[in-house]
Amino acid sequence: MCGFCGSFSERHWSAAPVSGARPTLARLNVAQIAGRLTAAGGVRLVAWGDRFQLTGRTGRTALAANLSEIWQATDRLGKAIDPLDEALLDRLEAGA
Amino acid sequence: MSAVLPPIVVDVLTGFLGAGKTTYLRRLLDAGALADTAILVNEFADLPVDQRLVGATGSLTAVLAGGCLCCAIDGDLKEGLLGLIQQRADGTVPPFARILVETSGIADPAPVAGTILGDRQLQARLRFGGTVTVVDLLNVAETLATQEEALAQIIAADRIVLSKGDLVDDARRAEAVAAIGAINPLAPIVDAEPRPGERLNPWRTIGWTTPTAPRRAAFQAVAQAGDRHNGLGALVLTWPEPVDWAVFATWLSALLHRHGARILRVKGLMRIAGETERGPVVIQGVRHVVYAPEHLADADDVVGAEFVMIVRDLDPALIRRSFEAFMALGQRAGETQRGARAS
Repeated sequence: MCGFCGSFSERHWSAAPVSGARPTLARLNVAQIAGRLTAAGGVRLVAWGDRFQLTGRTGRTALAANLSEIWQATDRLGKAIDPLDEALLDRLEAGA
Repeated sequence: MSAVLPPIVVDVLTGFLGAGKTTYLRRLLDAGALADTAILVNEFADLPVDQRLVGATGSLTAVLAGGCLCCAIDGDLKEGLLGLIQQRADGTVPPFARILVETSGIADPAPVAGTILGDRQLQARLRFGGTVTVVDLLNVAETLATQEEALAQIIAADRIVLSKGDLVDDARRAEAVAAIGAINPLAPIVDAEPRPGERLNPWRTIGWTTPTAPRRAAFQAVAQAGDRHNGLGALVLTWPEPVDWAVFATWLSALLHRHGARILRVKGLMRIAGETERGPVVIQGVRHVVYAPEHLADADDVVGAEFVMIVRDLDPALIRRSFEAFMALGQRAGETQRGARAS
């Protein structure tokens, strides 16, 4: 993964269209959805102030400012997430 | 209080060595099509334009250690852009609204967008416009077969301009157009020779501002395109309802994090649930780099999401399955929220 993809950017593309008026709600929504994926990798994700906090199974934590950083931190703290993983898709399609 | 200036639009002109970029640029300048544009050229050229508005970028090929090409921040380009912004602010150059960056012939144009979007100093002042790629009809087959950068230039294109059309017959031209369209079905293909009286800046016609017909034609071309070479594939993804943005952003960001090097282009429109009064947003990306999504006022025909991906060595059917599984997740979440509010 390249380190320049949004990580050093103040305006991450994923925050642009909806978060202007309701940044906290937007972060809570992202934490809820992305948290389902990071949980599959053994990482707990919560909205924390104006960022996100990730906690691995060993208790190690990391902060992330945006979705790109969430995936980088998940790689470090737990199991990497692949949205093309068929087992993951089976679970999503089953509503799990 | 000083007025906030709109961001300067940065456009890219690219094309392989000898394709005719500078000739095309001269033609546009002679026609007066670049009246409000400053130009950053790869090598200084004697262009028919106020020389204060011409700068040099050096080679757009720098890659930072550990980085990938599309995300590299090009120092020469950054300095060139900042220099022009400063001179405009100082009033030492005539005012301009756009900057045109001509890449080196052997450069992948993706770092230009990466530089603008990944640099704090630049991202607040600039907006990426689009890419025009000049393709030499005489040498296109051989160039594409042997030069990876030429392929990258076509994939990055929002518009393809054909040069040296007078040197090939109709059959060879048709063959080249088919080959280019199979690589990038999104970009309209036009001739380098402008129509009489044409004074339009070609970059101004890029985008979705004339939405329905060209967009649908491009999407149909993607859906109908046959076999592609070099492991390339393209797919159209659609969703019939406004999209839960948190779900879409989660999906796309995770996909690009894991497979970004193989997702060559993303381009399309989507209406966002809860934001339907603001019009759909334009989604555009080149590999890892996603441009800041912008709301579009004049695309009322878009109800849900429709966008194209050009990929390499990835199974389009699996991407579609993944997209639809995530969108369904968002729909279920939305229904649960609405149910909770109603009870």
